Amino acid sequence: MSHREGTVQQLDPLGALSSRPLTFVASTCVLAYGIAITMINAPDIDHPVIAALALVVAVAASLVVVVASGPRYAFVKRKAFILAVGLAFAGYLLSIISMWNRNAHLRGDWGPMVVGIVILSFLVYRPPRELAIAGILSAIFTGFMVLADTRSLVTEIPTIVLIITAATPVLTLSLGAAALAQVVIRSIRRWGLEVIAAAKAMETELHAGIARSVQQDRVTILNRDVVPFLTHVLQSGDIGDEDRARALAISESIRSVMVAEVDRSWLDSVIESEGMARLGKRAPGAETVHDPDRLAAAMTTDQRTAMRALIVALFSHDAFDRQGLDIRLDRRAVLCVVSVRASFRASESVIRQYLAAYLAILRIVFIDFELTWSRNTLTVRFFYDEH
Amino acid sequence: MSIGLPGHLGPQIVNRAVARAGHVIAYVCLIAAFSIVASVQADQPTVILWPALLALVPIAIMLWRLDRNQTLFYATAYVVIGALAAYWFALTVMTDYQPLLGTNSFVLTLPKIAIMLVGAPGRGTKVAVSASVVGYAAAELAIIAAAVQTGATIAVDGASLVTLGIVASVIIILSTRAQRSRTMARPNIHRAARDEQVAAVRYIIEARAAAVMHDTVLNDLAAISSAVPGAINDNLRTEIERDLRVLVGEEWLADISTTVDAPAHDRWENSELFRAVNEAKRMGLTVAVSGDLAAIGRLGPASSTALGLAAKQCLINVLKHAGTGAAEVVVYGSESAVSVMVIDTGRGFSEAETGADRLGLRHSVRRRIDAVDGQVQVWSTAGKGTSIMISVPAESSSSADVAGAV
Repeated sequence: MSHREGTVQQLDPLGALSSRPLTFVASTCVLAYGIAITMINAPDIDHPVIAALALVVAVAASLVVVVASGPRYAFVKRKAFILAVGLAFAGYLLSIISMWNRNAHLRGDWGPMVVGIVILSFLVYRPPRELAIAGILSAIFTGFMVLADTRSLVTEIPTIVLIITAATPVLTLSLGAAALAQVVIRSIRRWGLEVIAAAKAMETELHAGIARSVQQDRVTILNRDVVPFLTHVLQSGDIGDEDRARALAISESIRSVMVAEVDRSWLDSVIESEGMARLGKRAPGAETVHDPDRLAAAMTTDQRTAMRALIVALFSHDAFDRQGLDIRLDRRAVLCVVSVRASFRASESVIRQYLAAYLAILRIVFIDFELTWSRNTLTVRFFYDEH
Repeated sequence: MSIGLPGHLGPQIVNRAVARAGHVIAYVCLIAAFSIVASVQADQPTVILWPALLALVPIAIMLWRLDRNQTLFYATAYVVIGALAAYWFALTVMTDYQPLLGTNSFVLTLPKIAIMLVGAPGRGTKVAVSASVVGYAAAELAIIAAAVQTGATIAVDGASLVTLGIVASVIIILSTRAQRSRTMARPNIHRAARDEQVAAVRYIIEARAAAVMHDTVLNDLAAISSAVPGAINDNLRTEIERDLRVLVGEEWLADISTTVDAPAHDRWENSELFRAVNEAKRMGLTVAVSGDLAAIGRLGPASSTALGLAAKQCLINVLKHAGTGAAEVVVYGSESAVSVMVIDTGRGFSEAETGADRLGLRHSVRRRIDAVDGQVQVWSTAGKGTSIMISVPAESSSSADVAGAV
């Protein structure tokens, strides 16, 4: 599994998924604010092309998170964050250059606010500490920008005041984002500990019940052939050829049952129990699951949970075609790859939306993730380490 | 599995997080206001601005109190004291420093923002938005009062109003989104996690059941099928009687850790491994035991039992398949694990090629050891013999790991 960075996205992928539209809102704010301030500053602009370019770069900065948080990528990386903040500053610098010759009086600039909004838009995707550090460094950079912009400004107000004024939006937005992310992360972690404690308590309870039922199953099997036979051998005190043959036959039949059980993976069991629950008939998992190297056993608990949830979700959808389900596990270089092919009598957008949350979880718990759709068939491929 | 918060906690936590973020922003605003005034004061010592710095102190103190105790009392106190202090701040600045004059001056916007971010977590979206509006109104009125008193310009403060709009939108958007995510797939994924847990417990129990079946019934049946016709031998009779008693009469799948006397495990003579070695000897195998035998005492009851039974199966395999009458058992103890190596110089085999009939290694050794988080490694060369290393975690280290994880 990928290295966990302690971001809201990694700790609560579903929450992150539901807050993704906010990145579009942030992007729109950047555009609207940038245009508004540019229009106010219009009389000062010597190079309209550079001013327009500055806006384009700023909007590009705000779009980095929109793209990076999309379904193509597992989760948003630090590189994307650095790129976005870098672009925001590039836009800010271009906007200063577009008004380079007119700085005789004080004016507002969209730069600091845009930098702040860009950092804020990463609050779900980067760790709080990183957001805070980015904010502080950006505030310092903003100071240099102000120095460049006000190099020949004549005013009674000390330059340091202008710097503080410009740095304040950057600091408020980034530190506010860091605080927000930190509270959410701390709550998720606290909840996680409660879940672990509850699961442990449940496990002890579960254990006794399952042990009784498994033993009952075994005893029922034993009572059919084995116990009468062994009792007969003990009572007669003799072993004859017939007994030897019978012993061999019974042990062969028990072995064959045990071998079948050993060969049945957890994945087969999930398919079987889902088929049973939804369709009321028992369908062998082996028909659907092709796992010759028994790679399903190498998945971690998180990976199994995500995959189980996906299978349950597939079976629960009305338009799902059970005959079209095919799951394959193979080795590809050093990784294991799972391919799930599922057919639906519904459109791609409907199915994608329906499965979005499950796919988001898969993206987080598996190393790599691919999704294709063609002719009513969804193919999802994801990779994991063989432990 | 980390799959986030349950739906019912979402809005509550988002509200709390927004309130906390608001307070951090309020601190930044107060520090910025303080820095601006202090810079001007340092730049122009003749102007008396330092009382304005003092005015920010009660706001910061009340903010600190409010952040620790988010009650209605502290929220009200923050707004009231904050507005009074903002009046004092504005009065000082407007009286003594022309360039910062006007109710829309940036330095006066900062305390207004700080006060509007009062926050009201846990009381719903409407209350949270109203609290911000009340906070803003109180601060704005206080500053207008100061302007009236000093004759400064009263102008619409666009920055404050825009900030108020943003604060209200953020509160509304975040809390409605958090509520909406309730209807998503979350409960299904929590259910999958629970089912997975049940499946994992069942897997361990079935592995143990299979191993026990293998050690008892299958061994007995194999012994009968290969026995010389005639009277049943005493060893076999005892074995079958014991197995029948255990399988039908006892709860052989109950958690081992609750049924075994723990202190007895400290001693090698009482360990399952010791019993396994003796049993193999009774069956005719010559077993040489060496190494750190006391290390067995560091195992928990479940691990010790699993290790002993797995080693027993390895010794039985030597007897049945290796074509040699001798095996060596070596015990290694490290801080974190206890390992047992079963070595023979017999025929050797390849695990992959042993086929379905060689269930012993898979069931009685691998699955059993997997169930106690141990590891099995097999080295075997045709004609040269087999070494099987079984490692299980020592009890002290596994409990330390659990403590570390929590």
